[in-house]
Amino acid sequence: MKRILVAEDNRLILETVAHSLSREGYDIIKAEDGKDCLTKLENNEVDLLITDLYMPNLNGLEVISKLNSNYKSLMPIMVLSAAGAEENVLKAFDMGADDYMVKPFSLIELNVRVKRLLASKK
Amino acid sequence: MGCIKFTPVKLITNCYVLFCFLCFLLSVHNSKAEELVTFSQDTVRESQLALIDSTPATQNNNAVFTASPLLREPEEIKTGSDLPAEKTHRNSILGVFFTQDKIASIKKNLITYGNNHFPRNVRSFYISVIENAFEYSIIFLFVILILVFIANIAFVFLILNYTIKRKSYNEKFEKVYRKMYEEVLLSYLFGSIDWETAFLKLRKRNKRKNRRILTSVLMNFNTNFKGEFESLIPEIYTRLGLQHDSLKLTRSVYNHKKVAGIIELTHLYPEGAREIINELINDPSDYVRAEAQTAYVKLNPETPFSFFHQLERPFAMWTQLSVFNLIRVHQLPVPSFAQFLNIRHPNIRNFSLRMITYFQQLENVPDILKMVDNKLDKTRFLTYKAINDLRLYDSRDLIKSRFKNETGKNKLEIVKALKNIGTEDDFEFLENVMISENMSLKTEACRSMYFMSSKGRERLLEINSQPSEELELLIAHVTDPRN
Repeated sequence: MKRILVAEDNRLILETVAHSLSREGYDIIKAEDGKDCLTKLENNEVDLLITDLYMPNLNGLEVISKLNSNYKSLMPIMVLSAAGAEENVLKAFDMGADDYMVKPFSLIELNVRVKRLLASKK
Repeated sequence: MGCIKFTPVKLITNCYVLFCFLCFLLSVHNSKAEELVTFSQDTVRESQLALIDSTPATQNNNAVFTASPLLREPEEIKTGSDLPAEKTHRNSILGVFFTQDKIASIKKNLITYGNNHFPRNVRSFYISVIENAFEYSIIFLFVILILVFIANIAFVFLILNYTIKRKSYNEKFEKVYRKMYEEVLLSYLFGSIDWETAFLKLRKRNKRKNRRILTSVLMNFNTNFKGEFESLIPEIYTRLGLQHDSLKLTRSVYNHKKVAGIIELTHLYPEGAREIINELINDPSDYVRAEAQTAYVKLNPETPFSFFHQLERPFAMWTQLSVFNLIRVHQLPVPSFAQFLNIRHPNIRNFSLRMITYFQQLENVPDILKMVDNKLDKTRFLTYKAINDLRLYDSRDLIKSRFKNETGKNKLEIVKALKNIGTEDDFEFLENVMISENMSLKTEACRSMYFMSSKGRERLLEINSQPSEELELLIAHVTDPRN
């Protein structure tokens, strides 16, 4: 079973995404801030990271920058953010993100993108 | 690290201890002062007696008393204490502010007034009140002040304590119910439970506070998710009858509540929002009006700016930015803004000019050119800017003809426009500007000529060959890559 780490400070989004992905058969680990996300990444083997851009303690970009390049090449990263400006998207891709979804988003679209990302990094 | 914690009770206790200490100090000081007075009176009396004893019998006693001021004092003190109306008030509160004569006269007048106007049975009470009032010690004032100070601190701490407790209770309340409602709604949205079960599980949904939490949860869903949830969330909102609460909010006297109501209705109950938005786009409050106007654009994507014709109040800058952002983000169809150039509100005209420029609406050129005759400097400035940005080459003569009577800022914009739309025919005009106008215009004219074409640069070199130190400096400035 593929394991996905979802890092999001908005509890409602975190629960909804986790609920939606677990119905698709993924094992979900939840993190409510950047620090928590890094700790859980260290302690678990994760196949995909879905992170929000703006979170307490460490933001999404800081989390990505703290991951070493080896980790990044093995685990796809998807950024989930309300900031849809081009500069944010480019910055996230530049840091090593593999996908970027702007809120509001559709859960069906999220599931499709997750499936594609996991397949591409097999 | 050690940390000292001050609880309200501790602080109030400390204040009381301080107060008691102060009272003690004052009382000690007072009793010492009294002792000193008694001591000095005794000394005077003793010396008086000694003098009388040592005086020869032939001498007159009265002569001694008049000669020595020291001996006169005890007599005066005695007489003063015997007559209440002539009492001294050195220690009284009034003694701090008024002279002794003034106090005595006020007191006398009050007593006389009482004697003349009050009935006999009240008179004695009245006189005793007057006596007491004039006898309050200065220490009493300090005591009152300290008590008021302590009472103030105690009151502030009580209010703070109450506010903090109330706030934490509200937060806890909201956290518990929010979590519960989110779980129930998630289960319903993912099909784990049916609506009847969900409805039953949404406990205390009829209470005002809980209904606000429910609305907030639904708003959170609505702003973060689209797709399958887009139709389900408004459905839950109307099933729970929450739209009535939002409609009620839009009729509130408080602006922030009106704004909240508008936002909720726009997101979750658009048909209800459309009914009330038309009234609110002319609301006296800037915040409400801005929110209503933004909501209007969202709710009417086909004709987002049709409300301009109904607008009776200004179209605020913040709303202009919000609306512009909405158009860009949601890619709303853009109308021809030339139709709004004749509206009487200058900020709508200015906004339309900016939009015409941004969306490159070249079909509106004749309408834009008419705006150079507008009375407002800002509108004319935006017109020159539009002419420059839209590269309206045919309007060169028009803007040059307006140059003479323009403001400094508008003149600068005309010269800037010539950089992009000017030709050799405009060299003479720019040369005149370089000779006669102020330094910023001269620099801009030189820049326009330099960057207009190679012919402009040649012309500048020609002019430069004539001895003109100022022109040399200007050319050096515009050709410097740092500028």
